[in-house]
Amino acid sequence: MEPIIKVNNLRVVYHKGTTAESVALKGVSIDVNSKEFAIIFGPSGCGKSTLLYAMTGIERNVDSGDIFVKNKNVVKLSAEEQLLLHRKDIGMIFQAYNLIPTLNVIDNVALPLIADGVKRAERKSKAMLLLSRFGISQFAERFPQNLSGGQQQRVAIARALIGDPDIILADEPTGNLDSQSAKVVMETLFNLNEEGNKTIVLVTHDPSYLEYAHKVFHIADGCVTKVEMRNNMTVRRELTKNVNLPVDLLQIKRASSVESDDSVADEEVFLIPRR
Amino acid sequence: MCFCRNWHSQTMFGKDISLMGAPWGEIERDLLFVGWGEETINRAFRNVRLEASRKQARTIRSFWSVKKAKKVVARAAAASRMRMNDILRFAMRIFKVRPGRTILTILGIGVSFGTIFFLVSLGYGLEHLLLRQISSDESLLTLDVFTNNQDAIPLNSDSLSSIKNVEHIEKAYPVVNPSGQVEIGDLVAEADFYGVSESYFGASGERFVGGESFSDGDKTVVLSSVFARIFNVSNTGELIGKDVYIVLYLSHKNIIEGTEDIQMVSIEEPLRVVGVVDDPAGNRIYVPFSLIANLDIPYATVKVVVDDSSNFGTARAAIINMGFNTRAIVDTIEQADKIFKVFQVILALFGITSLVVAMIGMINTMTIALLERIQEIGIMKILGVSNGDIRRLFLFEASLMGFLGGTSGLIIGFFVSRVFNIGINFLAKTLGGNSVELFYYPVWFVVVIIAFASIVGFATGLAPSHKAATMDSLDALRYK
Repeated sequence: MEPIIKVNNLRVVYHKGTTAESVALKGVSIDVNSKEFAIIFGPSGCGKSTLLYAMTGIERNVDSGDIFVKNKNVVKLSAEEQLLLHRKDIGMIFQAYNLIPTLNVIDNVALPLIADGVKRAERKSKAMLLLSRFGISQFAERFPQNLSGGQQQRVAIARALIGDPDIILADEPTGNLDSQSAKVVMETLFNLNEEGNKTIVLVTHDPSYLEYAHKVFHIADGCVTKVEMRNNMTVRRELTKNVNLPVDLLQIKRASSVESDDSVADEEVFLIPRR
Repeated sequence: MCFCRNWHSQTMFGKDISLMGAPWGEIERDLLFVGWGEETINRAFRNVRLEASRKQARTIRSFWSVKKAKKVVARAAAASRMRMNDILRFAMRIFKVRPGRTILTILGIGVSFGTIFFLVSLGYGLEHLLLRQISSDESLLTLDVFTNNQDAIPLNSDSLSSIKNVEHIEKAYPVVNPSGQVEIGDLVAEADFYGVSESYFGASGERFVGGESFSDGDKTVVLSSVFARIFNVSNTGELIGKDVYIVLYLSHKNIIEGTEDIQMVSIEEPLRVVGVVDDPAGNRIYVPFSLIANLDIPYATVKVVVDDSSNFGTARAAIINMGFNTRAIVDTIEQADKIFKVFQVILALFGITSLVVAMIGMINTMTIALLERIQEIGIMKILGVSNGDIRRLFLFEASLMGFLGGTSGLIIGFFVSRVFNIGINFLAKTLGGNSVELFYYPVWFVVVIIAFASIVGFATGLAPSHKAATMDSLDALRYK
């Protein structure tokens, strides 16, 4: 099977040709398969975030190498293709949540759909479904700064999921959270992978999260030092048992699928599993 | 059928589309024909393929007509956009985030456009006032002919007939100007008499405050409004219908003896007042020329009406050649026009200065708004908001501020001008003058102010919006 994300000999150089030149990635090659939970692990400043952002195609300092996401070379994408990639194929979660403070929760969640020109009623119903899934639908009309960090991060996860992407990229999503909220976020991601069949790439420097992963890329000083395959399914099975999500998962369909159209009906189902 | 999952696979896509029955080959040919380049078409089709993911699958399925397909191709080529109402909603956040700063900036624009509006409507108002006071159509074609020396170049019935013979002259009639006395009831007053024909009123631009002009041959008079005060009548209208008796003083020069005899001629019949003209200062009385024609008074002036404005100059030159002097309202208007031109330039300078100040303020506001929102721009870009939408958003905000500035400027300018007008009229009334309307608001100018303010706003938004649109999304996201 073709890997869903394939990085080939990627070299990223900042401030190239100046005295401040620094090489962030020195020929990194990694593969992430579909439905895998991959962790990029390393100390701060090792280039792991650079690698993650390079996968979205917004890193402009790629010196050489290729990055294929769903068989497209994101280094050479046109602006429109990149937009569509961000709207529909990749969901992003950040350490600082990166919610827009002047938009209420529901607009924040629906932002990728707003960018895509989706009608208000449609995007609102989708956003509300996701919010209720994460147990924060009562905050829909509030502004992000009135929410706790854990709640904000859940809003951000809902936003990452609104376009129903196959891939979730998370950049230290628990970095600003207390241990309880961090656990909720990690279990949510785990569940999205395990039962939602999303491919997850998580950047972290916290070794305690490694047990969630199928595959761990150890990065140091711009190089992959070790690729660790974790095939210990018992650990994951244990985790699955222990996961205690805030709200029972529901089989959720898109609002538009009510007007049934059999050719697209199978696409209309949110990839959120039945328990 | 599952092309959505595989939209990146072109063969798969092609197969799906052909299954859907859209006439793609035909569309492509048509697009080539209407001048789309090969490159553009490829790009557009690639976008259609991308767009042909979930949400458009249904639309594409119904592509049976080339026309409809072309529409979608064109839309996809431009990449999908935010909806206009979302852009509006996002732009309205300027009132939520920093309402004080936004309102102050709008007020800055408003005050500058208010100043321009005030000055321009004052300019128009004064011009309007002047033109309404002095000009009717006929008055612009009228020439006053007079002589500096009644003995050498006399202005009398002989010269009147020679003036009438000049080319392009439609009519010419004399005005005599003896002084005399007027008597109403028991009261007697001194007055300047004007023997005129009925055409005089149209040509001179006199404004009637009551009644109307007389006809030639009537035994009637028209008074100036000052007589209401002289004869102690509260309302000028009450003068109308009264009978007056008049006495004229006629002077006869005796050239040989170097003396001057004054002869008093009284008109025995009572004359009825039919009209009052607006003049609170000069005690003028108009009597029909025919009534005093037989007294052989030398003419003060001859009013000449030229048939067409293009012949005005030639006719005037011909009369000057005969030795007479001339005077015309047109001269006054030309002079007034020059003054108004100067006034307009000064006003434009004031307006432009305040506008430049307001624009600098607005650019400042937009730049700060940009700096504050760099991270937000980064987030939006990384979530799939296109650069074009970011640009539109900033431009829309700036135009909105300009528009609101222009509108508030109109309101400010209007109220200030009303207050100013009331103040001036209050002053005029206490000093015994007439109340006037100093301001005139042309509709086109109101429209121009609003449009121009929006354009100014748009222009100030150009640089910041460009900066926002071309910003690197990752740098923006990491901006602190």
